[in-house]
Amino acid sequence: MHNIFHIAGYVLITVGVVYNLIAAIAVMRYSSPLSRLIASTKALAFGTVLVIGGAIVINGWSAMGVKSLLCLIFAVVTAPVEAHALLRSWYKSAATPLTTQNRRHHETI
Amino acid sequence: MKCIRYISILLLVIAVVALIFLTMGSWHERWNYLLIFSAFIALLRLIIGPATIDRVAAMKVISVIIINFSIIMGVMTNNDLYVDIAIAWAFQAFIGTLIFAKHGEGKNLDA
Repeated sequence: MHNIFHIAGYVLITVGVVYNLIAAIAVMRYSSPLSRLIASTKALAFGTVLVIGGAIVINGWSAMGVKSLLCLIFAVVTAPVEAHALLRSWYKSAATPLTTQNRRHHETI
Repeated sequence: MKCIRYISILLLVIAVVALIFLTMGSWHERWNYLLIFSAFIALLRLIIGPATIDRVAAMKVISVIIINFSIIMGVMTNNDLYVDIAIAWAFQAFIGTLIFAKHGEGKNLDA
């Protein structure tokens, strides 16, 4: 804990790790595949952004900071692409979306 | 399958208690413990997932947890080698997810 940047970076990384934990719990606990997909793309991407942003804030303009910025840009760009591809694959392979008729079937999984 | 979902919440309470009381080390140890716990929770969904998309989503969770683990190792040791590992894992996880999505398209692999 040397200066204000270290404290801010530690807070960012802690919040990001807690976001990752919440995303993993949601992937385990949600009842529908679409809900699990939401948890594994949106919340997880936000947690990754917080963790890598904390690393950037701690290190500043060094080699590690620039590489972390590259990793952050790649993670932000590829998260929606993965979500779209997975959802398209699930929709084209005999998918049964969650409606009021088959809600009971989804909740027993 | 319902008992596994209840046990996961019980394990969450145990993890928070262990984070507060048992890990008296640095903050890096607490982050690493929480990430390992999250990976094991996602591993349960990877085992019991009824559809292909569930397994791929759980695999993506584990991949992103490995990326964050590498970033935290880089912050801990102040060495930029670990950030290279994180970038390589990000590329590999992206391509792996796209290949699984393209391969399972139009097929009903399980359930």
